[in-house]
Amino acid sequence: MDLLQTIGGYLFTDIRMAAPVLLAGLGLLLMNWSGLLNIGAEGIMLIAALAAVAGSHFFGSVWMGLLLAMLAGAVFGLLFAVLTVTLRANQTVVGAALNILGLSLSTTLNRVFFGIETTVTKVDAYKVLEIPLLSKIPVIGRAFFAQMPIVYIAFILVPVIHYFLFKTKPGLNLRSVGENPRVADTLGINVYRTQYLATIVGSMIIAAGGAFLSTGLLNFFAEDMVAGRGYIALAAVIFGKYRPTGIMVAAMIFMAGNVVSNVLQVAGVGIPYTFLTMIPYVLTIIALTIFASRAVAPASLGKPYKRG
Amino acid sequence: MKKCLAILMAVLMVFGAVAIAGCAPKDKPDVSQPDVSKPEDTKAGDVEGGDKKDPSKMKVVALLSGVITDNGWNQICYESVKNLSEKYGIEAEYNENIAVSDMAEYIRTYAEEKYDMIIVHGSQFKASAEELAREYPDSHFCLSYGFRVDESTADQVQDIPNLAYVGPVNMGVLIGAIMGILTDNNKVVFLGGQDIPAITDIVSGIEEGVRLTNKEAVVTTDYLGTLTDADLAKERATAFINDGYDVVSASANTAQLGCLYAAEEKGVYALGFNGDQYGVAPDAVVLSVMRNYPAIYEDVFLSIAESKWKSGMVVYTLKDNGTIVSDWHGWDEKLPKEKVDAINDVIQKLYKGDLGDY
Amino acid sequence: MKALITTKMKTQGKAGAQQILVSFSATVFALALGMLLIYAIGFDPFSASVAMVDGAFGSKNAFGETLVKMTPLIFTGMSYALASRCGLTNLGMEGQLYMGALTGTATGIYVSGLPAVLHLPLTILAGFLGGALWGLIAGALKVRFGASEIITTVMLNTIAISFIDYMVNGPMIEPPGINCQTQPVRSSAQLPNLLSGTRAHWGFVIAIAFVVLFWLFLWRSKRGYEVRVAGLNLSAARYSGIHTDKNILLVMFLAGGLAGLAGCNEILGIQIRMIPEISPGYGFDGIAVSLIGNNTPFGIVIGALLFGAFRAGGNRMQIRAKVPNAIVSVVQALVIFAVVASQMLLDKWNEYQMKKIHRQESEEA
Repeated sequence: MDLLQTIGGYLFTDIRMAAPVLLAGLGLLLMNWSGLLNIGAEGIMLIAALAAVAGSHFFGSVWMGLLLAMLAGAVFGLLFAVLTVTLRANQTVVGAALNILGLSLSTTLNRVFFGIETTVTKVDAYKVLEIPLLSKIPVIGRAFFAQMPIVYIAFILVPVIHYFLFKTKPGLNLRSVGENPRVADTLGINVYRTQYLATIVGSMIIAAGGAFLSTGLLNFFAEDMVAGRGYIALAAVIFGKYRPTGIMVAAMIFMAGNVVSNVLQVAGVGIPYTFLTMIPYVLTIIALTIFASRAVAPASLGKPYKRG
Repeated sequence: MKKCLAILMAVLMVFGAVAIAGCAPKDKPDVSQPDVSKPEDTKAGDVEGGDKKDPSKMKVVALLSGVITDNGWNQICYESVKNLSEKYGIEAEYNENIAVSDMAEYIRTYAEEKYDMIIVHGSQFKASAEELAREYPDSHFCLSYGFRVDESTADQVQDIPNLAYVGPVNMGVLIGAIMGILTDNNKVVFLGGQDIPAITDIVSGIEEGVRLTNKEAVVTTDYLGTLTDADLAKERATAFINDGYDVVSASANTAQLGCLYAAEEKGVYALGFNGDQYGVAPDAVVLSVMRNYPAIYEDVFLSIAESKWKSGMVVYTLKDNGTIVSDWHGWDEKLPKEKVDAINDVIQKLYKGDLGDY
Repeated sequence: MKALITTKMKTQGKAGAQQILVSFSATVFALALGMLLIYAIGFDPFSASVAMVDGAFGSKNAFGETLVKMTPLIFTGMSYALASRCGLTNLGMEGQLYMGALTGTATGIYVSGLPAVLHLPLTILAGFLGGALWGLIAGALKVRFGASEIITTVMLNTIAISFIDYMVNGPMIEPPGINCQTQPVRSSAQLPNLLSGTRAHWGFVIAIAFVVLFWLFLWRSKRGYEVRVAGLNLSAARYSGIHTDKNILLVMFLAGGLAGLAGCNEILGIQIRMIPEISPGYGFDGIAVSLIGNNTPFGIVIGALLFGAFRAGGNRMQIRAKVPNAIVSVVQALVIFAVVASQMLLDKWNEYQMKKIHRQESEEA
């Protein structure tokens, strides 16, 4: 096979696999800038993956699935906000509990919705949307312009969220809440409302990432199908230095780890598969150690704010 | 830090001494050595005092490592007890998500209640099953096991009169033989989920099977490292297909569905496994090969009822219907005729034993 | 600054008992909610609760099972609590547990010719060190490169579990290499039984001993005091001349070691050999245990008892009431939510009371 075409193929795979991580990372970013640290992305993605299949199954449209998934995400986000913002509970503990809840609840509800069948319930899923002309560009054309709609959405969200955070008044307010809530409060910004909104909208974006896993890349729900992507998204935010563009690069680099293990296995170099499994995770740690010191987190990240 | 370690060590020493002096040695049998207290009169193949039992009064339970909706290993066992329940009116009892450290507790509960047939589904529970089978001679224990084609598994089996190691054998050979015919590029790949006996048994037969029908093909077998991440599996399979492989099959519970999708997307052949997976990817899945656990466990169930129980390795070869092949679902019209004939022919010969003792 | 911190610590200690009581009520509330859920998806909540209690405390054997489940939870709970006392978040207990189990098993198998009185402590020490070094990686990455331990510990979990898969399938596989498990550890390295007729083993006693050590370290040693000060406020600690970097390394080392002991004891007392899936999530349960115990030694034992009872009772609930045990995890999550919410509500209530007293005082004045 032509070398350039092969590279184009890797790029296509990389972008497609990066999309869910990118969505989850962008959702987390909004929360982080409002000063909330949520490690529960994995759980939100799982419940969203199930909700997406259920919505697509019961309403016959994959977009209804996305809607239901984002609704489920919003409920999880609200739960997180009530506990951590209003009640000022430990954010890591609540996030960890969200992960447990997401895994166990999605398994339980999957059975309630679909019963126990040997035949997989297939649902409406996203189709590839080729952009005319652009998708014909050699090498990169297919990788960038022959993806599913939700991949475009993920990548379009990058400049949108960047613009929102760094160029608009509400974005500035959001960041000032994450940097110093007390000052923000004295400036007349409603800290709690900002954090609630950031958490709910952020969780909905994370949920879109989960929906993409079950109705985009595949078209069914399976227990534990998120397989650690929620945690990788957490790392992508730090590696991306709390910038949307950075998260995009990070998601693509981390998922390139999977592409590398694919290539190595096909080439038959004889590395035990257990080591190939480790590659994305080792890559994440290395990336963090090299770049973490330069990433400046919002100053009040993870600290509960008490008014008055 | 050194001081810390020193104190720690000292405390541990004291506790070690107290623990050993203070109480009796643990009553756990050393599993590595054969049990010497085994009754002399029971040999493999017999069962003590066999009364015939009324099948509808028998109590059966399946103890599973995962959920019954995993599209694979655990689901097929659930199908087995459901089959018994439908045919003999017994209750389809099962327990899911049992951790290895909890299995002994589950087995004990059912053995205490004198269940007739306790299915322990997976070789990771071997130690627990062996220990408790000795302790509760009145129950029949079935350990679902994976047998490699080279019979190396035989060394692992312990001789306990009420414990059977149950499973089909030579599925891999059958899958390999079909893959060898299907391929146009002479490159076939089989991907396992993890290196565990219930998957390695298939992997071990693939190459031998392909060689029955195709002397030249490149045969690759490898592991995905996941049973749930279907997305990763899909990309891994795609990478193989891009490298020229044109027949894909996999055994990795839910993750294997990703491999079938990859084949459909890329327009190459795939073989389903564990269930009839034509519906997952109708444009790729030519045939599905299935572990016939429902029939196997029905057979074992009846052997208990009729007091013809066999212990030790209870292996179901192709001849014994341990493995079944799905319907063509119209693929016999779509494929070139010589391939269909060749596949039908090799399946028949394998089941009859014409190609060797499979 | 120092005086402020001391008073802060004192009030924390006083509120401990009250908090445990509130946590307990919250747990009962969450259980009730869980029963409602069980009813909602079509099972009998009454027989489920009976089965649950019976499975955890109904007989000597049931209680033994609870002790068996408690043992690793005490260790992982202490691991999380210790890190959290120093202001660190150790989410890597699962990986540390696996590494401790691995080094413990290796020492138990390959070191021969020692009497039990030497072999057993040596094996346990190896288990401690395995987990400790794995924890130290995350600590070193934080101190040297500023990499957040929240992320690195999670990544190290997956790496550890893959590595154990490799070891158990490769270099350490039991000859001739069919089953992915190691040989059994030598009998001189096995933990003796504690209650005859049950699976409870001496690992429980070791766990309790470590709870005492945990208390001694944090509340009776200078280093422990520094750790707690650092936990309350890292930058303040730095100003008062406490070497926070050194403390981070020490705490991650010790916390990793505690989690490693959870794995090692599980092998030496229950499994006897290493297999790929030794832990059904004891590592992550440690977070909940330390939460319920409010990071105090006594509280951790209570938290471990609760979650141990959950695990033992949950098994029985599945057997008797046919409730799928994924529900048990849902209930566990509910318990965590209820407990954090109740603790925070208690804080708010106390605040409110304080304000009222202040107001009264100022009115009287």
